Amino acid sequence: MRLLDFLRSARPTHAVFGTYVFDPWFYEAYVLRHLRAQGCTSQFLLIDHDCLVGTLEAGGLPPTLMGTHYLAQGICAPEAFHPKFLLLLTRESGELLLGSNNLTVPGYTHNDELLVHLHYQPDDTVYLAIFQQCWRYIQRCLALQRSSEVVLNHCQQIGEECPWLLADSAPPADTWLLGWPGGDGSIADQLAGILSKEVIRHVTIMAPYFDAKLAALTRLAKTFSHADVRVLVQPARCTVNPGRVPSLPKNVRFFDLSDVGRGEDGARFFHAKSILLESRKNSYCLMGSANISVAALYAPPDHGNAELCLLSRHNDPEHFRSVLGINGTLDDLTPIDMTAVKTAYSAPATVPPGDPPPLQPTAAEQDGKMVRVFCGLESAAITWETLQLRVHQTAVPLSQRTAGELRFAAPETSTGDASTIGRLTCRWKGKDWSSTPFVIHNIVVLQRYVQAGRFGKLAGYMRRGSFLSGDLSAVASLMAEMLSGFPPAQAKPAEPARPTAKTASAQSLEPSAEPVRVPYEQFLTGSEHQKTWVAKAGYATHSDLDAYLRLVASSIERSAGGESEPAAEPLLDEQEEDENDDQPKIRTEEERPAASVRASEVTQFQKRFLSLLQRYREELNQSNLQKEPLSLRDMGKLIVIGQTTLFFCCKDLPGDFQSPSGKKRRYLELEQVRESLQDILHCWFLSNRGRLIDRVMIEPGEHFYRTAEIEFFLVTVGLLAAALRRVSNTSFDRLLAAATHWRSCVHSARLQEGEITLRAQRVIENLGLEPIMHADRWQATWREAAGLGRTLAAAQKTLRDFGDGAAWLGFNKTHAAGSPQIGDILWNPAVGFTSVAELRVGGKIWLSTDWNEQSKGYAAGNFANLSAIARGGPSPNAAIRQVCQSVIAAIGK
Amino acid sequence: MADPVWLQKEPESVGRDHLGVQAASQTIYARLLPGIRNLTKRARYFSFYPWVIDTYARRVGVKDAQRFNRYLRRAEYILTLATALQGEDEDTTGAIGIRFVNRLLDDLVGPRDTKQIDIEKGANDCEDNYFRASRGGYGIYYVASLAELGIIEIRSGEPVELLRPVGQQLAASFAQTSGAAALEKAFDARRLSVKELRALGTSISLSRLTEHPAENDLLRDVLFNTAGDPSEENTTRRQSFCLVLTAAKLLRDGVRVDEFRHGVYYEQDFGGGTIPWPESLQPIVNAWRVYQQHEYFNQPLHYLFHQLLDALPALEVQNANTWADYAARIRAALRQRPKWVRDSVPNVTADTRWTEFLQTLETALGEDVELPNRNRPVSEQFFSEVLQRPTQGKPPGGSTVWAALGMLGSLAVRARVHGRPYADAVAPQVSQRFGLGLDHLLRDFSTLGGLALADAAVWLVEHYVVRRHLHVALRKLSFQRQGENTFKFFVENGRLRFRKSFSFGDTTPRVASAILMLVDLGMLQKADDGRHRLTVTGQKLLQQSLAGVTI
Repeated sequence: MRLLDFLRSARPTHAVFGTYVFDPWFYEAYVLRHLRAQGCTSQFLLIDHDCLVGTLEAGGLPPTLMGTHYLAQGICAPEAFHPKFLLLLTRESGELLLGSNNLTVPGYTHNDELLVHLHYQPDDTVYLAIFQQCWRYIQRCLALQRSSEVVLNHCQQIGEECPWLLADSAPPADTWLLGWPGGDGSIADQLAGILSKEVIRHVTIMAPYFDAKLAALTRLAKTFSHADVRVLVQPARCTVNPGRVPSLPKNVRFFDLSDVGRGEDGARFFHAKSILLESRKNSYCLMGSANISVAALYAPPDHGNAELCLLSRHNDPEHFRSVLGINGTLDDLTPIDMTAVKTAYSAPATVPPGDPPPLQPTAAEQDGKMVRVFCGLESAAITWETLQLRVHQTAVPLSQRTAGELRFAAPETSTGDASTIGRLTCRWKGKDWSSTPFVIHNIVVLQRYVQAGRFGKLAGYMRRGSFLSGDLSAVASLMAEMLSGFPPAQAKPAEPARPTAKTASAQSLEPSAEPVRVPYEQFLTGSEHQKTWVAKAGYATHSDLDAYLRLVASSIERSAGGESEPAAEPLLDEQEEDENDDQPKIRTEEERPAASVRASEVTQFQKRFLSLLQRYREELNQSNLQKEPLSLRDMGKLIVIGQTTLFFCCKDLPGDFQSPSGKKRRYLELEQVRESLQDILHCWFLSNRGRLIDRVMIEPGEHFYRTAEIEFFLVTVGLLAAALRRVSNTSFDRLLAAATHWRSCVHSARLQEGEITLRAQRVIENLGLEPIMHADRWQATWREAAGLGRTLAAAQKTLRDFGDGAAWLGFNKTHAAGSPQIGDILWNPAVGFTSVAELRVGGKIWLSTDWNEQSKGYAAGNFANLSAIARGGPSPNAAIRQVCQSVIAAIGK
Repeated sequence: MADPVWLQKEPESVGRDHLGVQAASQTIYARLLPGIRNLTKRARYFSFYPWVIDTYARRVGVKDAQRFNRYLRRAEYILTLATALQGEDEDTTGAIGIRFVNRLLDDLVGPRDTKQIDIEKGANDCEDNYFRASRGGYGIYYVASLAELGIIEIRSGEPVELLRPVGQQLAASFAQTSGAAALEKAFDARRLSVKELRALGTSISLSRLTEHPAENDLLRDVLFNTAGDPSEENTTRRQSFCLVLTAAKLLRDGVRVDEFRHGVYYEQDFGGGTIPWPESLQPIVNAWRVYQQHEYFNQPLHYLFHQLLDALPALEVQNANTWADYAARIRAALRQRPKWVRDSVPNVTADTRWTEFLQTLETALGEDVELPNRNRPVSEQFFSEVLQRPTQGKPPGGSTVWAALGMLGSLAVRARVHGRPYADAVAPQVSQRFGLGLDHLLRDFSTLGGLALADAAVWLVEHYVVRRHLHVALRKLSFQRQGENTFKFFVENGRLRFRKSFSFGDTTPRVASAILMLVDLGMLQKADDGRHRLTVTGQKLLQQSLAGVTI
């Protein structure tokens, strides 16, 4: 199993990790990023408390997003919190990876690790009970110390969203979850209970770590005294104490793992832990986190490590050896003399017991202006008046104290979007004392990032331009999810998990319909913020989102008038300056378009869409310290950059795309793509100036490089456009919507009908489109839109066959075609379909689709006047008249 | 069944550019010498391949990739054999599969001339043939260059590239050479004797281009853009070629790559003499200076990285491998002031503020940091030499850290007169894409100005080396299609764990290829000590070129 591939393809809603060692750099830059890109904005880590403290200590490479972008709880087990697991959950399903690998680069990429991968789905419930036991195990771990409220509530909400996790189903017949805390006694006791009726003949142990006295190995060998106990180790890197080997029971023999093909002769660290047990009839495999130590296997209650293992049984005695690839070889191997080997054993340092600290902070959270620090120990000798919370260079005194909980006013330095690390200080026993460091979870910031990170992700990618060199499939996935991910209008019984504290402020209780939290730019951009996109985006005068925005805005702003009147230029930017909580102006009953949709519903939809973008924009501007304030139109440009990127995630560029040098370029290597994408974008924006929608983008052919994600995205866009078309009223509006259909509703054999249906229903539900487009009838709407797209595509082909603008100029002159009227639909190969917004002197016209305010107008003669031809004006031939009529009929519907 | 599975290791590779800095160098030199590559060293391949395509079309005419590839490989193999039998050393440099051919010829026992060489076997049949790639050196090295020079056109899905008009002319010019007909005939032979191959070499050898004036002139026209195509690629390539010729003229014993780099950066030769670059070439000199400037930016970062990797195994044994431990060692190392610090900037210590250090360094670099750069006793070259001394696996040595600070400081000081970094070589939208560059350094130094040198050094190593490598390696791992593990160290439980080391070298800016091509064209000739001098032909072309006369 390749874990990175697994992470890239996972689509969970929630992720819960358990790990002993934690590499914040790897987690934050890779795991967090990939899972978030796939929509998993709820991520929660359980980490050994001491290891977590180690990563927070000054001089390390501490986490920067913990407590703001994900939750973490240090677990205080009596010795160590040692489980390693990954639980991925959705409302209906789950995946559990349980094994030996920590959340570190070697643990995920190159150690020799052993894992087990379990699934749960409604139609595959074999391991449901294991998931439920694992969830209960997590709760027990959280109870080992005073965990923060925000963490406990987060878990509660995961439980509410995944109710299947909370039940107590019948366990599977051949699989057991063994763990501490919980379980009946130590791991060894639990194992012995299950094996009580078996006569074990062979025991095969694989592990890197052993206790110094080899006591656990001795006890195992004695427990299975009739068995041949074979211990497979990486001699130089295991911690077997050679001095204790002679005192082991005689049934124990050691073998070199490299002889069975593991560990790559020492180059790869063997970190897996497993015990295989074989009777005459059955074989068992214990796998997970437990090493061969007393702390892991034999510790009495309230001592030793927290561990988590899975025991699996098979009725073929050799099954697991076969699965692990060591079948049949062990009997032929020569044992090694461990007394003569220099292992990695070092005598444990004897640390003289010191005074326990007066306070042991286990968690902290900031709720508005209050910071709560949760503590495990409280010494009576503390001088409470001297107790302070220290964050960076700021210290604040204790303001309130209850059992296990200390409250402070939030230091001013702890309000950012990055991790805040604090310490407690006080006078104790006549000296200055400082606690171990802890991360202060910021509830308000967490609500923003843990709940809705998709837009943030997108914004981060776009603003730095690094999406061009990063994982493009992640962007594709993100884009595909984007429009379907808006929170519903009202809070529903099962809300997506959202971290709140029980005492959360009013702000934290705002309904989740308040959408779009934006970018965790610091996370995504790091120090690489680039402004290149700004200059490039300036060239994009038309985009789908621009069109949407104009449709929305023009619907709101449109003055009463006939269909042939041009749509007013919406003053989006000016509107934005007057942002307040006022409702947008709602049109009166008389002004309402003649559509079968109620104005209030239209307005609700429009308002939601616009406010979404406004919020998105606000947060982007805020993140950028208002240095490059974005207008709503800029937002449209941002989206179009993403779309273009998706489009160019391909091996070959479309045939009609030419680089400035005139040579067709191929993008076969990712490195080349990385090098060239920005150039392509630049060219695309340049070539796109003055066009309705770029030809390269919308050519409705079936390109082989369309991925399912792109298809999904296009379906989403198509549905949105279909809905907009129903609320639009002017010919120009319908033209834009139609152009969007053309682009996005091309049928593809790649998608299954069922998948599209699910997606469509989700889009409709999330966007609240039910009044406009009923979920049951989406298919008809979509197909109608696709039909419209095909009509326009066919018309374009016929018109293009006649000739270019010069050809139309000649024709119009020869036949004295006359000036167009306002509202007439025109076509030109360079501009595409458009309509007349304004007539100017000198035969110049202003196009409704020309948003470039610098435009001096176009010469009308260079266009085919589809409306005039359809009305019976001069036409080059009958075929063209026919397509003109079909276009007018289609758009006029 | 809940069966266990082994974790599959992510594919590991040695990787390149572990700090993500050298890609910028490659971008710059690729723009300065477009159309040729480090491994397209021989000019005659640009006429030979069109001729192969032409004869294939004429003689076979079947659009079949496999068939064309076999044909092509035979042609390549025969050409290399013929070249090897006619020349030595530089004459055979860059011939496709020359090492295989040399081994083969060395293994021949007895009188050579009568020995038969199995062409089909060497080109196509055996496992250990002259080149593993299916399209030979053509597919790996030359096809892209031929396309960029407008000689061929690559068409998606077409097994054989299309010859453009200039390609057809080049094919015709090669066909006119006396050996072309014999070579064409040799394609049909399964075996060729050494004598036959040697005879072929007298005409078609890669080193005999000058003996065929029509072909030579045509190749010169293509490479020097004598047609005056105004495209940026063609004009820049022409200027760079002229610059190499000028260097051969102005440097005392002829041009050599290292002195060329030195000369464009300092506008001085190795002996300290001023190089009077012609005014008309000043823009291209400035552009190459930018390349070298970025190389000097690369070096300290990579040597600091090396020092960390060298030290880590020992630090792990001592359990002193946290970042804090290493940072403490950097600070301690700076307490040992090397001789150049004591001599040239005597008041500077580890506690000196960064801004004060820059001021002092500016004085040491020259009374006023003039344009062009001047090579002083304390200079980038001096620091470069210090950095390249082995660290011998010890924790950070003062000399390396001091030299790194000196190098970066020098770049920062000189940047004041050079203006915006990279502006002389590439457009801003290109340099903005550099992951880490001089502009980042200047920006960061502007905020670090108040820090003591020791703190600045720790900051630099942390952000430009440690975090940078982790970032770059993670990015490489993140590429879904080619995710590779290139970590040289990683962080585990707050500790830096050594993984693998690597060898670091400067990038190779295609100048060596340009020199060899100019030798093939008869404009340079080999001199002592790896240098090349200007020939009369070269002198004439250079004069005409600089005077703007059409060649």
